[in-house]
Amino acid sequence: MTAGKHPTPASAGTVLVVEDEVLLRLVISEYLRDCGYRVVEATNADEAIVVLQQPQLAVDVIFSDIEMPGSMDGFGLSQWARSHRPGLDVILTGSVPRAVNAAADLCESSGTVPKPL
Amino acid sequence: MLASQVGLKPERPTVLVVEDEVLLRLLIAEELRSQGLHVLEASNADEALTILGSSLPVQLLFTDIRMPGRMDGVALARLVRAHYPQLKLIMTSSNQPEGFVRETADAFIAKPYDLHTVVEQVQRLLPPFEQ
Repeated sequence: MTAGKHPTPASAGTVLVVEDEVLLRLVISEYLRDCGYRVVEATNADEAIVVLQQPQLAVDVIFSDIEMPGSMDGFGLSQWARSHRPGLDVILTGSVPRAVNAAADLCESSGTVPKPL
Repeated sequence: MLASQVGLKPERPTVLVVEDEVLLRLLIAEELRSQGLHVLEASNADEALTILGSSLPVQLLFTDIRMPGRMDGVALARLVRAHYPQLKLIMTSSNQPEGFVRETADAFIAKPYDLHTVVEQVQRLLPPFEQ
């Protein structure tokens, strides 16, 4: 991998955002990046598992929708994470308001003052 | 409105990366972010069109050609040329480009590629910007 001119600054941690609705995924991901997190985007549980199987990506938190197309929904992904990556924080969001509140909470815990989302 | 919600800064060009392989998409997106660009990610052509149809200002589309879904990168490029003619277009594939791709894309990058090539081509097509 090429080293970028602007290496990612020390971040508050890595969040894996799993969301099939592209604009919601985009807004949540950009918001969390602004809060200092490194964000990895996945469109469904299958992509999320591919990411979680890469030890160098060192995901700290899974931030996942519940209802998603594919082989597994958010609950299934959560169960997979519990068996394969115990200790990993999993935040499940079932609606846009819950996703927004959960993102704001994560932002606050990063030590960054969150802007309104 | 969406642009301000996602913190887009007008002085920073926005690149939309369309790639169905999650790890490759991540690699490209993070490399371009490390160059100071704003990067949006789409996993297929439908997601890309949703982003382009929103109010987000995108200056460059970087798309794979072979993608699952109802539309591949060539079909996406045709739509983009028809509806967003100002958008810079980089296409990538492990196959040799067909005539349409050669004539339409601002750049073609053969897979496998190194990230230096991607960054060089993106920077060549975008206006210089303050980082």
